[in-house]
Amino acid sequence: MPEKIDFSKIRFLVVEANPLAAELMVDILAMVGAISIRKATDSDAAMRMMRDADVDIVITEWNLGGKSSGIDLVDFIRHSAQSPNRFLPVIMCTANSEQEDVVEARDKGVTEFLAKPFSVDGLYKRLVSIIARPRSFINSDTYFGPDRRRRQVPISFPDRRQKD
Amino acid sequence: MARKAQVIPPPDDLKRKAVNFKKGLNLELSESENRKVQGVVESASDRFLTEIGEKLQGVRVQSANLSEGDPAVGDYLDAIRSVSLDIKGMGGTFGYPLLSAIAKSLNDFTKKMDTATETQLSVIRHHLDALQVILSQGITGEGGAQEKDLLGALRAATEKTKNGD
Repeated sequence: MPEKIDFSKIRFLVVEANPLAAELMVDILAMVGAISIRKATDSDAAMRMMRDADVDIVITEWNLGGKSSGIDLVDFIRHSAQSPNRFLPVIMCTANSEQEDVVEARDKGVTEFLAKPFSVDGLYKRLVSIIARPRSFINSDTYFGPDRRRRQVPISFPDRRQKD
Repeated sequence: MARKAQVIPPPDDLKRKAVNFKKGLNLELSESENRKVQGVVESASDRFLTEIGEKLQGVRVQSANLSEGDPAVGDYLDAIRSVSLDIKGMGGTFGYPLLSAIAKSLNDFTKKMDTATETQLSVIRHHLDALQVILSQGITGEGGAQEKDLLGALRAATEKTKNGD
């Protein structure tokens, strides 16, 4: 019997300044079965919501209304003492899709990057990856976030990092 | 001395909460499940076209009376960046990848502009006109040879005038 994902168990926060894009994301999540879907139009509101109620997955645009961006939100989640959960999965779903944007987002600790325009399939695959195949976290002097190496390549010698 | 990197095992709380064998969607969407979810996008398509049409109309009106040195150019460029990013980000999702491609060309062109020369304003207007034509004619997909030539010409114009003249 194949594994399934019950999305009604997952609490989402969608952070998006464009009302139509926000509504589309909420509708797609509702269609796959999500029930708890909160919306924020800027990162300050998102931070408040995360402190007030539990969230399991954040989906954020890079470009937000207000003074701070989606990248600032990722920074808050991963590094702030006020962060409700430093391990919170974050999907950066954005029209900022140049290579340098992807690298910056990854280095800030996003869990998944989804370039706009996105397909339903692309979004779904990232949700599955976050929920069913979570990645290890790396904590170092210069980085805190999901392991940026995608493939786990078997090695024939002791893994120095595991020992550390 | 630099601290050694620590590997923290994957948090599995979501997996324990939501992955099961009875309820929900398969890890790989079936064709019918995919169609059902895709239906959400299709049902929002009309709203996308209406909203983008209104935004485009707004910047085209602004554009009509603008000339080099006008103090309103800064606000106009902000509006162009915002509209082009919206169209770039949503066009392809709604089946209009050509809209996304032209909007990307416009967004790349204006990304770092504080002001614009007469030639640059003209290149922006050409982009807006092209977006309007695609929208009004409902050209879905990548378009044909003519549309590809148009996109190529717009990109060439941005490259040629990015430094001002």
